[in-house]
Amino acid sequence: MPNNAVESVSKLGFFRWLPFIFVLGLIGVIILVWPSSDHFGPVFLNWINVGLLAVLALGIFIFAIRRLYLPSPQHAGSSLRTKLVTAMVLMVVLPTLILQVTANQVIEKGFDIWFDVRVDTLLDKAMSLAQGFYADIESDMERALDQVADDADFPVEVVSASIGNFVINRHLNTLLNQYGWQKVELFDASERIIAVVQREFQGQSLNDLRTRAVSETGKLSIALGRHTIEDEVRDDGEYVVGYLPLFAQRRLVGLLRAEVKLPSDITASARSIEADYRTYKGLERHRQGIQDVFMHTLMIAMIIIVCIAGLFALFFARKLTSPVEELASALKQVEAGDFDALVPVNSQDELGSLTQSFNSMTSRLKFNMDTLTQTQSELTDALVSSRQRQYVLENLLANLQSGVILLDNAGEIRLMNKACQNLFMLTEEKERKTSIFDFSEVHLKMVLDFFEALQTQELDSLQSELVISYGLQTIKVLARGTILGTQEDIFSGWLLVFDDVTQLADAQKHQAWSEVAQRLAHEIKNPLTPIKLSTERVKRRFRNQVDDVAVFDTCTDAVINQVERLQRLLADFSNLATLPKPKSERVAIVSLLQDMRELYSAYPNLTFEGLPDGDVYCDPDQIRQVLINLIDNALATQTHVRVFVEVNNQDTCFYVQDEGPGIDEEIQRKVFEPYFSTKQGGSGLGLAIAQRITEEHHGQLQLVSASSPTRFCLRLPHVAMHRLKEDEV
Amino acid sequence: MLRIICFLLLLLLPAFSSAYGEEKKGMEEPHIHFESGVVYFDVQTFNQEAYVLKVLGSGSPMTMFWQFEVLQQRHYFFNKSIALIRLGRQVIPDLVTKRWLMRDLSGGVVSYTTDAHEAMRFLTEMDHVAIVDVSVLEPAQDYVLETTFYIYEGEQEETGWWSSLTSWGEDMGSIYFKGPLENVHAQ
Repeated sequence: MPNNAVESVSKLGFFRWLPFIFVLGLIGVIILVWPSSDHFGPVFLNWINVGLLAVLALGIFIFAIRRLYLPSPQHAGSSLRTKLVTAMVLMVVLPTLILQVTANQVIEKGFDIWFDVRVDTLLDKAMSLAQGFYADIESDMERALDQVADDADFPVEVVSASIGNFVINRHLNTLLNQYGWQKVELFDASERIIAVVQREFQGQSLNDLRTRAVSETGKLSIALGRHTIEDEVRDDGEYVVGYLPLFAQRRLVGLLRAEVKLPSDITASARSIEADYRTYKGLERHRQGIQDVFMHTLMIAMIIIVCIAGLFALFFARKLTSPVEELASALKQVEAGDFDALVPVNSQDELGSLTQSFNSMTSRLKFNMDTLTQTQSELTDALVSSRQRQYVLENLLANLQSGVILLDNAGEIRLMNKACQNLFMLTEEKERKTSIFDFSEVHLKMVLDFFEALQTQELDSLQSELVISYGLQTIKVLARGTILGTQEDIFSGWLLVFDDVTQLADAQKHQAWSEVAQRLAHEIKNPLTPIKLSTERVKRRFRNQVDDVAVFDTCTDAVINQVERLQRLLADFSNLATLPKPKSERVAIVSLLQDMRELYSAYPNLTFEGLPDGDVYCDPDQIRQVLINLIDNALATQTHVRVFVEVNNQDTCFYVQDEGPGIDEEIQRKVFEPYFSTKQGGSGLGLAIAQRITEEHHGQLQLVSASSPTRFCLRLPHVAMHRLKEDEV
Repeated sequence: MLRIICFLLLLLLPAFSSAYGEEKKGMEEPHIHFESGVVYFDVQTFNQEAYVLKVLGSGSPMTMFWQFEVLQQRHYFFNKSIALIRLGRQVIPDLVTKRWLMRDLSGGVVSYTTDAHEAMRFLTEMDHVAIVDVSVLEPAQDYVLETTFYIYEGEQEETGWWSSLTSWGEDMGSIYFKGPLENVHAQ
C-alpha cells in the first residue's frame, strides 16, 4: 500500500506539470503565428489564431494553477472522465495534426508548382511584349515627330499662312497620311487651335471632332523645346499622343499634336497581361503570406475542431460518467453507513441496470442492517442481563461454602468454584483438571465414581457421602448431583455440589460416643461398686473357710482387679463424655515441657530437644494430658522418643516422635477414633480424648508421619494468644 | 517554472531593447523647422525603399499615410493633443507604358513619372510638410511631435481611417521641441 501511494504521488506529480508544458507549447505556437509586419491578406486570421490559442493557454494555465495550489478532492469518476476526454480529444487531435501537416506539405508543394519559374518567365516575356508594342508605337511617333521637326518650312508655313488657309490643312493631311496618325492638331503659341485633321472612322460623331486642351505633357514639350510623347487612356481606347513645338527663327510659333489610336484588341491584351502580371507578382511577393493564410485558416479550423471535440467529449464523458459518479458517491455513502443513498435511474442500458441493482442491494442492505441493529440491541440487552446473572452467579459461587462443579455432557468441567478447589485440595495450578475423568489420576476417584453412578443410573439426582483421603488427611464429603437440562436445551450436563461434613460427622460421632459412654458409665458403674465390695467381703469372710486359699485369693483378686479396670474404663468414658471446657491461660513452653521432663525423668530413652522461649495459650492440665498420651504411646514402642517444639508465625507445634515400626494404612484411618486401640487392655480413648482437647483449643492433632519414625504433631494456634493479649490490653 | 520564465524575460528584455535601438540608430533623423510662423517637418522612412520599389516594379499600387500629431507635454497627466494631421500619397504603376501615376490624396494633385525611384521617393519622403501654425503653440511650452506612417499595397480611400484601424503603423519616433522657436532637438 505505501508503495502504491508513492507511485500514485509520483504519477500525480508528473501530470501536475503536464498542463504547464502544454501552455508553453501553446505560447510557442502563439509566437509562431503572431502577425508580422510583412503580412498579406486578412491579418485577422492571425489574430483569431492568437486569440484562440491565448484563450486556450490562459484557460489551461488557470486550470493548472488551481490544480497545483487548490487540490480539489478527488471526485468519483473524475479519473475515468479525464481519461475519456483525453482519449476522445487525442482521437481528434492526432488525425487533425496529421491532416494539418499533410495540408501544409501539399500547400507548399502547390505553391512551388504555382510559382514555377517558367510561369514567371512567361509572364515577363508577355509583359515585355506588351511593353514593346507600346514602345514601338511611341518610337514611331518619336521618329515621325523628329522628321516633322526637321522640316524647316513647316513652321514658316504656319507663321505665314492665315487662319483657315487650306495649305496648313493639306500639310497636316499629308503628315496624317504619311505617318499613319489618327489625328493631327496644330496650336498656335497661345495653345489655341489652328488646324485639325482627323481620319474618318466608323461611328464617328461630332464630339470626336472636339479639340482637347493641351496636356501637361504638351506644356512640358513647349517648355523643353522638344517633342514629348504621352499615353492617354480615353473612353474609346488608348492613344499615343505626341507633342512637337514648332519654332521659326527660335520663336515658338505653334504646337503640333499627333495622336495614334492603339488597336483595342492589342491594348486589351496588353492590359490583361499587365493585370495578370501584377496579380502574379503580388502573389509571388506574398507567397509566404498566402501560405501563412492557408496554414492559419487550417489551424483555426483545427483549433475549433479540437475545442468542439473537447466540448463534445466532455459532454459525452460527463453523460457517461455521471451515473458512475453517482454510483460511486452513493457507494461511499453506503460505506460510511448511510443506507438511504439511492441513485436515480436515468437510462435503461447497462448502467441503468447496474443502478437498479445497486438500489436494490442498498435497500436489502438497509433492511438487513436494521434487522441486525435490532438483533444487536436485543442481544446487548440479553448480554447485559446475562452478565448480571453471571456476575451474581459467580459471586454466589465464589462465596458459597459448598463446592460446585458444572459438567457438560462430555464430562468437561465448565465451572468449578473456589470452595470446591479448596475442598478437593486442588489449589495448585498443575492439579487443576479440565475433565472429571481426569479425577482418577488424583485422589478424587471417589468423585469420579459418584459421577459415573449418576450417569449410569440415569437418575435425576443422586446424593452420597464420600470419604476422600489426601495424604494423611481424610475428609467426609456430602456429594449431591443432578442433571441440568436435556439434549434439546442449549446446555445440558450435570451439576455436582459437595459439602465438607467432616466436622459435622465427627461432632455427631463424638456426640453419639459421649451419649454411649455416659449411658455405659451410668449403667455399668452402679453394679461395679457392689460387686467389688461384695467380692472384698467374700474374701474377708470366707478366706479362712476355703480349702485352697491360693485359688480363692486368685479368683477374688481377679474379680476385684477386673472391677477396678472396669471402673477406670468407665472413668475414661466419663471423661470423654464430660470433658470440661479448657481454662486457657498463658503458659511458658519451657515450664510446660519441664513438668513433662520431670514426670518422665525415669525414662532414659526420652529426650526433650529444642525447647524454645515463648508462651502458648492453653489449659496446661489438658495439654499436659495430651502430651502424656502421645508420649505414653511413643514410649510403648520402647524406642528412642524425641519431643521437640517449633514455633512459627501462626502456631506452636509440639512434635512427639518415636522410631517404632510405624503405623500401617488401615490403622492410620482409625487412630483417632474412640475405642480403637492396638494395646492390650487399652480403652482406645486416649487419642480420641487428646483430639477432643486439641479441638477445644482450636488446634490440630495430626499424624504427620506414619512410617518410621512415627511423628505426631500438636498444633496450637497463636490466634488464641492474640485474643488473650487483646483482652489484657 | 514562473521564476525561470521571469529570469529569461529579464535576460531577454535588455537584448530586445538594444536590438531595437540598433535598428533605430541607422534612421535618418527627422527634423522640424520654423518658417514664417509655420512649423515644417521633413521626414523619410527607413528601410522601406527596396520594398516600395519592388512593389511598384511589380505593378501594384501603393498607398502611404503619414500621421503627425503635436502633443503638449504635461507632467501629471496624459499629453494633450494639439494637432493631428494625416496626409496620404498614392502611386499607381502602369507597367505597359512604364509610367507611375503619383497622386497626393490630401491635395488631389496628380502627376506622372517614368522614373520608379521618383515614385518611390514620392511615397517615402515628406519634405517641407506644414504641420501647425506657431500661433497655436504656447511660448516656452514643451511639445512633442509624434510621427507614424501606414503603408499599404493597393489603392486606399483618401483618408485611410479604416486602414489605420486594422494596422499598427510604423512609429517614426518623437521630436521634442519648445514652443514657439527654441531648443528643438530630436530623440
